[in-house]
Amino acid sequence: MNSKYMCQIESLYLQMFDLLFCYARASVENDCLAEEAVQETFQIACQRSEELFHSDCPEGWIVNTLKNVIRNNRRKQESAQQVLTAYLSIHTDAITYSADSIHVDLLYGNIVDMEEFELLKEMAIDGRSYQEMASKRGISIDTCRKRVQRAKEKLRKKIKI
Amino acid sequence: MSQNKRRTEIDFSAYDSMSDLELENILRQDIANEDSQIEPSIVMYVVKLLAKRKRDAGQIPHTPEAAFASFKENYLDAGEFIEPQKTISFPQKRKHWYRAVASIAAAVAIVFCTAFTANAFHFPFWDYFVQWATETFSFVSYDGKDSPYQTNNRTINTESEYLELHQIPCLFLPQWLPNGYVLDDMVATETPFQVEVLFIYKSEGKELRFSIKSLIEDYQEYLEQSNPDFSIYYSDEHPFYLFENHSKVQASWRTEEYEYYLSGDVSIEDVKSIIDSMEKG
Repeated sequence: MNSKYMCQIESLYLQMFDLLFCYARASVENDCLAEEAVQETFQIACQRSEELFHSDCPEGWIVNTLKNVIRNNRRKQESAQQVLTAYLSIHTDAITYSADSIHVDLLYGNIVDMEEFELLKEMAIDGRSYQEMASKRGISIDTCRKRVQRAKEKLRKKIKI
Repeated sequence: MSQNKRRTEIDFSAYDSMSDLELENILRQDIANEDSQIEPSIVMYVVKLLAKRKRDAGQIPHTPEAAFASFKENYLDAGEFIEPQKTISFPQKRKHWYRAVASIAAAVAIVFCTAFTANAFHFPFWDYFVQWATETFSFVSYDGKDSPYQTNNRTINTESEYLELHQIPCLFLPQWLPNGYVLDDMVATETPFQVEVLFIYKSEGKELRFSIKSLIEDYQEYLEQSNPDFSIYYSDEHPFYLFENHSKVQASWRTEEYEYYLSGDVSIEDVKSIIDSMEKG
């Protein structure tokens, strides 16, 4: 990315962070998710900096993008919840028995890696942000996202949603 | 027009008395409804009001600066955020700008006085002055092994001969090169104030460039880097600055009179070996 745009993005970020955080926080469950939505918004801003700085109102562009990010994240979370609920309703033993049973079932059933499953559960049920989950495991946010996505895809195939 | 009128009619003070929860509800509705009917100016007013209250109450967990640092660290690919170019500046002699200005003024005065006097004696001073610049700036090139550089019936085959020709001491010349690299070209650039000699070595499409530049007074070189990290490597107690720029390993160092610069498609270990092989004087 052009360094000129990066300086502009930095100044836009510093100027708008509090506003965007509060805007996101009004709609998401916790501070981490709100901050993550802001970060994702600026990640998109970096990828589409030409479009951002050629728009009539970059601040408005950022707010609209944040709005879309929040909506998308909510849809992703709901879809993950749906997949998990469907999986657990088919495999009632996973609910009835202990966590170890889920472990064994998932691992030996060759369905999904236990860590991927945990990530998906934390994201969908506990409402954790990718940043929280990534730093807890010492992995990058991108890796974390990919693992959640992979787990979701595997479970989706298994239950044929 | 009607929209502007509508905007001017909004009484924002009504929001000032609302609780945080009420303000958050307005924002929540704006986000939840794809076709939100809430006026954007109201959303901005509400969000600014809420942000101020939360910042004052310490309810925003991070400062914008800390959040931005985390953004750079966690959300941008390596190299995506281009820092303003960092520079390595070599130590330089103290600048006496007023002396330089006085010297230039004196020189200009002398030239004009001389010209005036010469003209009085019908001597074409300016014709000579105009010719001053001819033949003083030139590029001289050695074009590969098969056509060795020749001057005044003298054949130049090696880097040291080329340096001698340009009256540059034969120090810091690589005595070892990575496998396959051979001298491909020698280029000299001369001005009345400065001489720069460049040696180009090639190996299967890869290139290694080694240049030597004479220093002029108060000369300060800035080396732009894509990667801000650099290290200092000492060989025979002489410091060599090592860094990377656009995936090329580079080295730079100085003596009292010359600046040296090595860059190419080689590893950092190769660069160190090249440096070690040099005679430092």
